[in-house]
Amino acid sequence: MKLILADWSAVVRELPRWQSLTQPARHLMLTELKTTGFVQTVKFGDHLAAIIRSGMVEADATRNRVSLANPCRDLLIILRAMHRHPVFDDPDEPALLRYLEGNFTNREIEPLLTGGGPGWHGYIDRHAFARRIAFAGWPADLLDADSEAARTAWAKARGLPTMRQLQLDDAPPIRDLLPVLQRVMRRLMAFPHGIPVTTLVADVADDDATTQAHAIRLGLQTAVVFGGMRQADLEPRIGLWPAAAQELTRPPLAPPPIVAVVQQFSLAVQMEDMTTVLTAIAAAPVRMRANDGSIFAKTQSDIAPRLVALPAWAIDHLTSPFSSRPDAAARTLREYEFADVRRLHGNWHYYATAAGLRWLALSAHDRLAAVLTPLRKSKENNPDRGYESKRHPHHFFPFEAPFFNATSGMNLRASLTKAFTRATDGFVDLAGFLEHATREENPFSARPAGAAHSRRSPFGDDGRDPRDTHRAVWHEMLGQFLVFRLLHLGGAILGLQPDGTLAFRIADAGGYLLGYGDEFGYGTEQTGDVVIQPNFDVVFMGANPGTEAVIARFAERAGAAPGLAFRITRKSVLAAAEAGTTTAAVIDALTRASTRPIPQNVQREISGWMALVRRATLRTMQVIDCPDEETAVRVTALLGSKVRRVTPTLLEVTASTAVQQAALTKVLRTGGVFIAGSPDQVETKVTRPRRRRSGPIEVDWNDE
Amino acid sequence: MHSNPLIVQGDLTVLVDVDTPRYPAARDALARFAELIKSPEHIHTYKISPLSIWNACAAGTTDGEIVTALTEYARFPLPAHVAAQIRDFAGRYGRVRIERDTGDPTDSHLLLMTDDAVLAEELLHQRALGALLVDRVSPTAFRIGNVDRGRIKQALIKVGFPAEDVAGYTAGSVLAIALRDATVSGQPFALRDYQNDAVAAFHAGGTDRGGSGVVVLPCGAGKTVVAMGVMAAVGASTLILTTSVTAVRQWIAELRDKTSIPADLIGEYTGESKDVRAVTVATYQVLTHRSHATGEFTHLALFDQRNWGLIVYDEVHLLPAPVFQITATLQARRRLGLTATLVREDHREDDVFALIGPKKADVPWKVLERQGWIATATCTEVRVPLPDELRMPYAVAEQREKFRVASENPLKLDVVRALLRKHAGEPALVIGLYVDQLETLAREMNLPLITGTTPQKKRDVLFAAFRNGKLPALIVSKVANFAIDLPDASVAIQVSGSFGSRQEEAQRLGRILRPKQGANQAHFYTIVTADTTEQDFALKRQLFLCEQGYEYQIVDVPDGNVAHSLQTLP
Repeated sequence: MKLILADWSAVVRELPRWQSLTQPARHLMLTELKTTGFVQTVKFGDHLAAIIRSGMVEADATRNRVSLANPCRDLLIILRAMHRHPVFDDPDEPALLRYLEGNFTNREIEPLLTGGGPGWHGYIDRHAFARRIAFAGWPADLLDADSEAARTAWAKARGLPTMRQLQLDDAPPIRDLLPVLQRVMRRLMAFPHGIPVTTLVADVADDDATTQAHAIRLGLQTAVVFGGMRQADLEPRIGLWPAAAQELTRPPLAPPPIVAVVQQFSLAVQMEDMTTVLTAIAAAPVRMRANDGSIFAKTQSDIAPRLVALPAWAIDHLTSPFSSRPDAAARTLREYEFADVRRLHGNWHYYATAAGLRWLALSAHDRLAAVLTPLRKSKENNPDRGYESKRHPHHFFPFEAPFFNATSGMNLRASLTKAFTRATDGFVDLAGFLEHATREENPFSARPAGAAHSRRSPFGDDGRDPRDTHRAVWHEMLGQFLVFRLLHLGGAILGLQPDGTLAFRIADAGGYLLGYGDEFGYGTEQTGDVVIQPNFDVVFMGANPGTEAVIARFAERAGAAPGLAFRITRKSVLAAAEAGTTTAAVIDALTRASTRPIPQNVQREISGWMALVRRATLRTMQVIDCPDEETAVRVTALLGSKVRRVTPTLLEVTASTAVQQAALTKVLRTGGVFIAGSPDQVETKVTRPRRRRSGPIEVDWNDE
Repeated sequence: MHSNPLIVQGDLTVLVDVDTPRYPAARDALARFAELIKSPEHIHTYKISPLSIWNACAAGTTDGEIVTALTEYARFPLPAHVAAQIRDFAGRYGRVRIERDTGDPTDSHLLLMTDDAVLAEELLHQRALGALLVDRVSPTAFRIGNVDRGRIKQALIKVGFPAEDVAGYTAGSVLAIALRDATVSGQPFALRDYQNDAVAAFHAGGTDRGGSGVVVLPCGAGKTVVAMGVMAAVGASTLILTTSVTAVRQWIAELRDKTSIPADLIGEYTGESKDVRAVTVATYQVLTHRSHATGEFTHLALFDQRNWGLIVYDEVHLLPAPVFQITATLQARRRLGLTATLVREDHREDDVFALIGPKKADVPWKVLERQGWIATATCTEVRVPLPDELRMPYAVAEQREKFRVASENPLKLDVVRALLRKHAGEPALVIGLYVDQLETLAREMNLPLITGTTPQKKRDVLFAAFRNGKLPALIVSKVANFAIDLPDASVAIQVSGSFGSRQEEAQRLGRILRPKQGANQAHFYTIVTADTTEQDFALKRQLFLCEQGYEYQIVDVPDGNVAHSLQTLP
């Protein structure tokens, strides 16, 4: 690591020379001056005199070239290393990764992660290391080591005693440097952009500059402090990772306040989609693609207009990016056993089960209750683990446990229920709610000792600080529960704040699900009156999916309820007849649906169309086409029941196989009736011979 | 029962439940800014469109009032975007005005004014519009030629900014017209309230805010009388355009009967006569006649032959395209359109709005029916079987011939006879398409027949006899569909018809929807051969009539026992 290879006591000693230079001069020094060799003086322009005065360079005899003064070599090395990685200007993950790439080798990182133990074939996940050292827990672990034993344990966990090869001979022992380093870090906590080295070293009265320099080097080596320059002044600085410094000094987060929203959206989208899709499926089985179980595109585009429109600002939280709404609804319907699949005409189709049809006939409130109540009554207190997880719709948790033994000794159901009480009195900012819950009320933080802390991979743990993992896991769980169990099921109302960010509050249905209350209200109860118009329009005066499903079997869809939903046409009635529907069934369905008399002309026309229905069969038949009636009579006399008269000269042969027909032909021949094209008639046929690669050409004669 | 009758759908269709207590108030509110599309028994359908909103704005309705009315009467919350769309449509009205150019001594220009410079720039860059702008007089105003007044209004409506035309009109030659207190035949005569309202709405006290527009009244509601009221208010030379020679003659008869205009000041301009007087009545056909397909419309010069103060377009929904073109150059004349529906088959409603004017008056026919001004009508479809001997010829015939075989079913004769017996004493029309069939009917029932070849004089004699009650029934061919005014016909029997034209049905019913003495009930029968293409086409007619709000029933005559089957009819 370049930052620790230099003699930091020399750096601190020679630093005032750098202080004497202006920013432009410093820039030239960094870009033009090398650690060895000469540089033409013209490259320094007007700043040459100042640079020479600083004592960092020495001119040669010609005074046309300068070289780095020997005492300043370590200083320049450090300055150039810090200049390459201005981590305090834009401290994001890419900058941190570049800093690590430029300053740490894998051999230097490995002991920090493994405590000096064996790594996994030398593989280092630098992203995981970056996440770990950027997390406030990394410096906090040292800051919290308030005894020599604790500090020693900290050092051991970072493999420091084994890193003798990186210790310079004049450095104090690590056990003596650690308290100095702690003091340095405490001063740095208040300055997220670091402190200039000269300021940092000068202000610590308890420790001399050299000791501080060694402590800083130790801090750089263990990545608890970082070295960088700000481009504005090119001053070398030391600091904690900015986000970690802010985290260490922030006060506890207050619970999220109630906020105002300019728009809101509340609907049990999943349940409504299930209703719409099941209505379509109930009207006629819907074809399913065999490879992935999705509904065919044409049917999806037919169903799509009937789905509830979602506001653009909310759509990401209300739908899945991985499947279309009809597909998601169809899958859920199967999980609830409201629909199933079967083969029809050789293809897979979704069809409505009896349970599904009963569910469809319920009111909106009762349909939602049928979905929510099993969840409310489920027994799980924690999510299941991994691939054994039963993530079916009746499971309280819509996710699996994040890692082995993650939930031992916990009751996440109670934790979730408690967390969402913060959103029952009004809208709360969504990001603020999650931030507060993950930092201040995280159930994983209070887990019993010995419980697993991290996600494990074949390479060991994921490299993240367990506290970081806990925040991420709890954040995910809250977010997924909010989306899949609350927003999708009408249990939460999503709101849009004036600045475009999202807020939410718990709705009645969510309170019911979480156990805050025993009842909930949902949707306006509509009478669902259906009007059959004399022009064959079927107008729904309210939502009535059960009736929709019934009428859809014999009427054409013309829109969505409430409003003009269907039109009864001859084509639709005949299609229903083909499927086996009777006149009485259609009239009965209309009569039950409508509170007003069915118009006479509508009844008459439906009856008339139905009366047109006849069922015929298309089949092939073999016939004997006789030249005249007399021959037909003779054939009939010879064959008897083996033929059936179609017309006076056309006779259908009831024998089905070629052998049987050949036998009949022979009988006819005995009576002097010869059939052209009969199966046993000899045919002289010349076939083009198959050519061999070699040898004579053979002719195949099929000759009697 | 819900008290709110409206269901507002996302596509701006509004369904209205007529069986709710608040329906009348909701309908009155809705009719100001929505067009009635269909009105079958229980649920009527209205459509809000940019044009309907602009018509409402022209009458002084604001977008706030429209949204308030919808919200007030809606059964469910309005879809989110409806209010925004209404505001957007309404916001476009009134932003562009056509005004007089008082600074032009030649009086050959007008001013096109916008309410902001940005809109002016946008209009300037519209290709069709930009070419018509003469020059720019200010950031928000352009000068335009008088002759382009109509074309500019057409172009503006196409880009979604309807113009409010307040540039005024030329007065035309003065002609004092008064309405009689009693008709020439001695009957008391006065305008009904709704007719007076329509005249007032159109005339607007003679200001520039009135003087152009369309009056929408159902067939039989007296649009001719409204036109006469407007003529009296305007008091100027008038050109009346209508759909047929018979209609021309009827107009002339009405003008003589109900106004003070001397007979020598009323002229007929048709194929038979080219008489241009202070009040001239012409047909659309003569105006659009030309000797060959690419020739000039020589008779369009009629528009320039006098200094017309008022032009009346009867049945404006049938206005042919060439008349639109010439009307575009007549924007300085007052223009009155009369129609039972603004809906055109060719969807040129925006041209009617731009060139004739916005809707000025609209009274639903149900209101007039309830008030007794038009007769209620029941529609009955009588289905007769095809005789056995015609089944095979029908089966093997070409499609068009199938229709004729079914239409000329001889069993229909018995039905006609039975119906006329059932309605003995009530004046009846028997209408058909095929002259052979009508001749057979006329011969079998000893009734006169009027066809396209019947001389006009004979038609007038027969019509007069029918009107006077001397003839109990008339058999008429397609010529009788349009513009025959037979006030006392209360039964129409259609034995064969064209292929389901909506306008045809509306006109046929219009002929019988006149106030009747006694029960004020009219009957429309259509006789159809069952299970044939005729029945298929009859379905379209059935749908149309139902959507117009008529009660429609179907009666079968399966076994030829017509009298028995018809007993079920009320």
